[in-house]
Amino acid sequence: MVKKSQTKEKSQSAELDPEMRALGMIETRGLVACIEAADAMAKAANIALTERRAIGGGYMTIMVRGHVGAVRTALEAGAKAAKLVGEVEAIKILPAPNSLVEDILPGIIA
Amino acid sequence: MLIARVMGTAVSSTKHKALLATKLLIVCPANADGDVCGDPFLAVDLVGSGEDELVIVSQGSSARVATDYKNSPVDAAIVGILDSLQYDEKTRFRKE
Repeated sequence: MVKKSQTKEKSQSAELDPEMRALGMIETRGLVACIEAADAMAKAANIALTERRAIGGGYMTIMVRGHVGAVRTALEAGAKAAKLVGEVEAIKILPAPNSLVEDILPGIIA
Repeated sequence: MLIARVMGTAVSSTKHKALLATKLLIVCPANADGDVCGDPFLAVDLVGSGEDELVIVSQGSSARVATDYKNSPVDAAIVGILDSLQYDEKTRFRKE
């Protein structure tokens, strides 16, 4: 089984082809819900977990990359699982992020 | 109910509204030793199972009852993950 989850920038080896550039984000309140969402997303579709970010106050965000259909499926599955465990604050998919967006988000593989 | 092995995931963007926000997994029927022995089909995952796990699949109207989807085309649902299978006084399969 190929392990795709990476939480640090040293995922340079995880080459993503240009079609796998949809960006999905899920924000939870609490770490347990965040990890549950990550596990559910990884099991739901062929995506890469590229970052886990805490912005204070207990808010955790996970970023995923992949094909837009896979990212959408993964986000729905992740949100459904995380809602049972904690609070899901937001989920959002960007099917084709502009390169300027990629520049301001360190850790996202372009 | 069937014993089945999860082979992978299935992604579908265009689908019936009852299948929105479902996790679809490719499963293959297995025998009581855990060896795959049938043709793959799709099942809705209800328990958070992952690739290469041996799972319990419920089919037909039982699957519809197990899900939240009362008027849906779902006829196969993963309702459990198997830890071990024993018969003839021996353990035939154990989850690593």
